[in-house]
Amino acid sequence: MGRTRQMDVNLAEFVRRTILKIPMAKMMTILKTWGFLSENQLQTLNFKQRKDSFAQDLILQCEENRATISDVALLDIVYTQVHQHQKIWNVFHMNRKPDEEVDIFDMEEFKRTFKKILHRALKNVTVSFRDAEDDSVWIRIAWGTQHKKPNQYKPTYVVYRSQTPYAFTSSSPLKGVVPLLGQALMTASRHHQIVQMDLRSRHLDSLKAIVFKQFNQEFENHNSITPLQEGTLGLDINMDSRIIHENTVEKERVWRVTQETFGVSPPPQLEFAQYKLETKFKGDLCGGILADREEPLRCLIKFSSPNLLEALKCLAPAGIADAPLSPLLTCIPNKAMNYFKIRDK
Amino acid sequence: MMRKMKSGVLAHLEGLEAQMNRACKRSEKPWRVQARESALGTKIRELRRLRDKLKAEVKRRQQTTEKASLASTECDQTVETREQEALERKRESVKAILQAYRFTGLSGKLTSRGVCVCISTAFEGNLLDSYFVDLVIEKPLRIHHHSIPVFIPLEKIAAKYLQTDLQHFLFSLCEALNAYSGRKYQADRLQGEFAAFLTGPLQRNSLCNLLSFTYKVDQSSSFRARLLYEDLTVTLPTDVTVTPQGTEALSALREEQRAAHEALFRTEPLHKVFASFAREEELSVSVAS
Repeated sequence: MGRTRQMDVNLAEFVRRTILKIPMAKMMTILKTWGFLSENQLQTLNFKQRKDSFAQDLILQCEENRATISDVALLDIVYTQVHQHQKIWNVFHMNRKPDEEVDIFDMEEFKRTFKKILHRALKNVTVSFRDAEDDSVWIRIAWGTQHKKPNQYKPTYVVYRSQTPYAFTSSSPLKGVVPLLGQALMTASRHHQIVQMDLRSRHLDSLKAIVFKQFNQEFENHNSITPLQEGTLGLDINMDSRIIHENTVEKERVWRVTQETFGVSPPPQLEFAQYKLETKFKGDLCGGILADREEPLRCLIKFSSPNLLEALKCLAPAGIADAPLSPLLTCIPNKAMNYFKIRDK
Repeated sequence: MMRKMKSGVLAHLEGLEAQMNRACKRSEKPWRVQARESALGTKIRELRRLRDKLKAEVKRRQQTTEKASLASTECDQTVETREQEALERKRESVKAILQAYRFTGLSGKLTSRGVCVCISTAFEGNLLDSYFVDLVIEKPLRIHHHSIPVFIPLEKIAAKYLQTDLQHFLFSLCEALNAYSGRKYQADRLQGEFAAFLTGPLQRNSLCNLLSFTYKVDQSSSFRARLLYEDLTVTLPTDVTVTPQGTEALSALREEQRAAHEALFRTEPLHKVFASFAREEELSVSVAS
């Protein structure tokens, strides 16, 4: 039996650091999804040992199977797919010329073109693909330069759904790569313009729901159950019958307006909305430091929440704000924006 | 003081006392008193009996009149409930008809703003997904919101027809959605039921207008098929190429098979082609055994 070839030191390190990232509880699922190791190999792994030794065992198995950079990159993609919320995702919008051409999207051709453009520009770059559900593809790019090998620890991820004008990319510390990435995406998907949208979130699924307009999907039709007529937001159902609301008319109006604006089903999950104001200060107090200034007052207002849209939905019914809310807040999902620049007209 | 009260209560009481004294002086015989007492007692008892009898009679008469009036209201009520039940049945039937309209493929419900159109897609008698377009009826006509997938060219169709010819708009949209649903149905069935014939993954896209796969029908080598649907309103491919996998030259028999398959894919829905492959396989197995 010949000695298995010793794996490249950098590759072994890449495997080790990737394995160390994965929580033990999810290890088996992720390795199974990866599909690189056989069932037998997975069975022989000891999941109860310390992670360091576990990683060493795994490296040996990868050596047996002659793993390459592409194989390990795939493992990294699987890890990221399971831990999507660890990255902040940006959205890009693409346009194509308004001609009559029907979009015949060939996934293999897309991948070829994408890789070709990156390789043409950069000598050192690792590009990996993994097909996902919804006719989408996950792309992982590790960037290098003319002289340096690709840095496997700062990759950029791209998620693209075929025949749509939107692409999602993970925020990369390497800012210089964005134009090249845009170029590759645009050309491979046969669009001629790409623009970054003012929409960012950790929740990739919510971003998809917003741009593909898959939220607020209640429609009036004869087959559906009509939405609840009672004005509640889950708060009043169990209340004592001896308690009467004095202000039912107003409460019901507020509830109705809220429902019309936000819909019935849970909204997409965003963590923040940011408003950059460059407007003149308008205050009630005459005099004071800020009044009568010609230059606009620059300030940044940031709303944060584990679920911002749900929180905004609850504001008026909770009595904290008037209904209807400011359109600057309610337009977020419909305009697909959560970064705003507001200037005086 | 006392003298003044003579005309009041005290005076009356004094009078009664005097009367009783005079009666005692007349000294009526004791048995007469007793007789008078018993006579009065009998009279009291007689009067009480009469009173109870009259009370019972009143009660009886009251009850009969109540029963009579109750009977007449009950009669009215049954008529009413029967009418209500008939109306309820009619309402249910109309509701059911409205719900059944979705089977026509295009139905709608009036909303406060306009109309919400429901496009129910179908392919070969199978009811598939439904899509909605909520229209606001104002000038210009606009779409409030919809559930059309992003890769269906809704904007293009709307730009062409929405303002000028609503019927054409709806028809074009119906066509595109039904064709997409049909193609998706075929691709899903190939990946599901007939996965055993595939020797590699099915490559597809969101619109299901380009399908590429390798398959094997008998013990010989596999073929690669590429189905292109250039027209988004069709469910049969506009272009089919079947090529052999492997490098060796095709025998005449295999070339015949290849050409036949190409023709089949062009003329029959995808899942029907594979269903026929499955039937052939069954036949050959039964012949062999």
